[in-house]
Amino acid sequence: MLQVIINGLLIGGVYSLVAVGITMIHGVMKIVNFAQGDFLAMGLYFTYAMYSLMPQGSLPYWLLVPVGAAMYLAGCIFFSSTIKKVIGKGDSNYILLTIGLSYIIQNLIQLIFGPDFKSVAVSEQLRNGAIALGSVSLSTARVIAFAAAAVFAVFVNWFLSSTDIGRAMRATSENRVVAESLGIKTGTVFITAFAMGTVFAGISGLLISPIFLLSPKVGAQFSTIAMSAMVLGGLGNIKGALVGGLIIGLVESLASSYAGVLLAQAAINVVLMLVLIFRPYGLFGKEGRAS
Amino acid sequence: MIKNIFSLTSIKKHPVALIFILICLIFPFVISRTYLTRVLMEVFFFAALGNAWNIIGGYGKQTSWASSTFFSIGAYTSIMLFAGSGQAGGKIIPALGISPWLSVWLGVAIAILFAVVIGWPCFRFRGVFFSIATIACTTIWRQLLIYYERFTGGSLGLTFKIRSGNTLWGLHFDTDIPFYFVAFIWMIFTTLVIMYIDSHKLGYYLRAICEDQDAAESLGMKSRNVKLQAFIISSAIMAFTGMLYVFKTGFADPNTLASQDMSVRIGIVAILGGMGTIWGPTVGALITIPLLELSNAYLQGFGGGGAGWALYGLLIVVMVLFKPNGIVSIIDDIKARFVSKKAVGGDNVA
Repeated sequence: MLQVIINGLLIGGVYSLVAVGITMIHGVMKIVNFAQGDFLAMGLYFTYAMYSLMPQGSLPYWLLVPVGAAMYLAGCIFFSSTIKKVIGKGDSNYILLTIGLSYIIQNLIQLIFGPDFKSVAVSEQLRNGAIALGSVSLSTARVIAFAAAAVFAVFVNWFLSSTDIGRAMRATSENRVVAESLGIKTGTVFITAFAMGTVFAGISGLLISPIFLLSPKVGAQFSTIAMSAMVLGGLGNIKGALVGGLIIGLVESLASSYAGVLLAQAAINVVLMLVLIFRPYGLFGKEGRAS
Repeated sequence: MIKNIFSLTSIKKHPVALIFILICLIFPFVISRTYLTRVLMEVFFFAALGNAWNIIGGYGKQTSWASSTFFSIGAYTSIMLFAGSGQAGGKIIPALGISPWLSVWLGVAIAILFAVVIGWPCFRFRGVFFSIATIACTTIWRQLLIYYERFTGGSLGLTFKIRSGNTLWGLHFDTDIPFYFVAFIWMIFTTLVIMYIDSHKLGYYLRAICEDQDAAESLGMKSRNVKLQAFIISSAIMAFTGMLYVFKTGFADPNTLASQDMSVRIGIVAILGGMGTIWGPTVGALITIPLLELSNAYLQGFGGGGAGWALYGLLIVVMVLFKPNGIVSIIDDIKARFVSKKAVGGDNVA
């Protein structure tokens, strides 16, 4: 039982990171990115491609900077070519657009890498290594992923509260018109927020690359996970998303060990449905009117 | 209303539609290749599904990705009550052979129940909640279909035992042509439903709510009820189409019928053709379904079949960015230009 809970929390840390990305995007530009999971899949495949160039048995974590940079670039390209044009144009536009993007990414991956499952060829030590701690054993890869996600969470907090662009982001998410009238360049804020959201998804992909198998459609499940965590924490609430991610990890882990792996996905979605029905503004969100 | 549609004025109003109907009627007798008949039948099914999506997604502007859920509810209910449940192991429901024309109503009822469960809580709020809920619902439903093997046959799905003979009651024909007309009539019926909604209370209410929900509510419209009504009609049509589709193809499996891909494909039909228009889904189906067949035929070896779907994604993105009102709006643009030129010419003569 304790083992299950700890496993859930460890993977939940990574889910938190994905959720922070999607929440950041939603907070600033009021767009729910239905392609967030596919950005994660992109991160996974970038890692896969770059790792094959590295010497045998090296750690995939060295790729943090190149994968992050590639994702930042991809985020900028996606934003300025498509997303920019649907900001503030109503819900159905961005829903359709990001679903379209999700299909493009999925199938481009399939075109390039093929439809079959792949795995990043990390060393046995990393894949199966575990730290024994009393009666529980912690998988090394999961612990590293969790720690890295925690570092990023702290970074996001610092970024939003102490840097100019971070403060501008918060101002924009409060009220775009007022922010603009105060001289904040919302265009820059938008593109930074979107690219950062993409980077977080990509980095999460890198962090879970030793644990998960790669397939072009892997993104769909992470999209629902990210959205569940975001809704659970309250739309646009970064700290809520962090907690939401942990809860989703926990739910998934409990469900897959007590009801079977097949039903784990369904369990996450049931939680999402219940939250939507009973607490649509999240566990911590205040009752407000969504525009 | 029926009288109106078959009157002379409506023929004058929709000359292209009439030509299309005539072509469809004689098509299977003129073209002897059964493959083309089958493609056109697929077009009819997806036009019907697109019409259903259009009610909530186009007129209501509430993007639903739960289409495949309703579709597969209709399909599974009918096939289960006809051919029994589960393939391996113990069969819970024996092969009852109940006519699809009876069992479909159970499917429709279940679909409506699902629609209420998703719609009632979500239509309290504006925004994206509804779309997220529909995706969640689709995932849950597909997982349940795969999990409860004894009912649904798991990921293998359900198939009919060999059927033979021509019977409308059991909905089986030895050739494709009778089914072609069943599908055709169903598509025409759904189009009539759209026409009716378009020019009656529900359509006006939906448009008003899309334009300005506050204003509409201040005039006494209960936006939640109106949206729910649209969603219910949409889900019922999808469940009915599911029944027809599964009796045509002869098997139901969760990974095609209940997948998110199916929902998106149904959505694209309406998005491409033109959301919130009468003929949009029909036009969209006429373009996307043959396109998918072509890409299946020629791009199969290319990247494991991913190319066709990448193209679909690209189509959505392009349509949303450049022509949010779909192909029908392009036709309207051309028509408008033509008409205005004529008007200018008339002035000159005068």
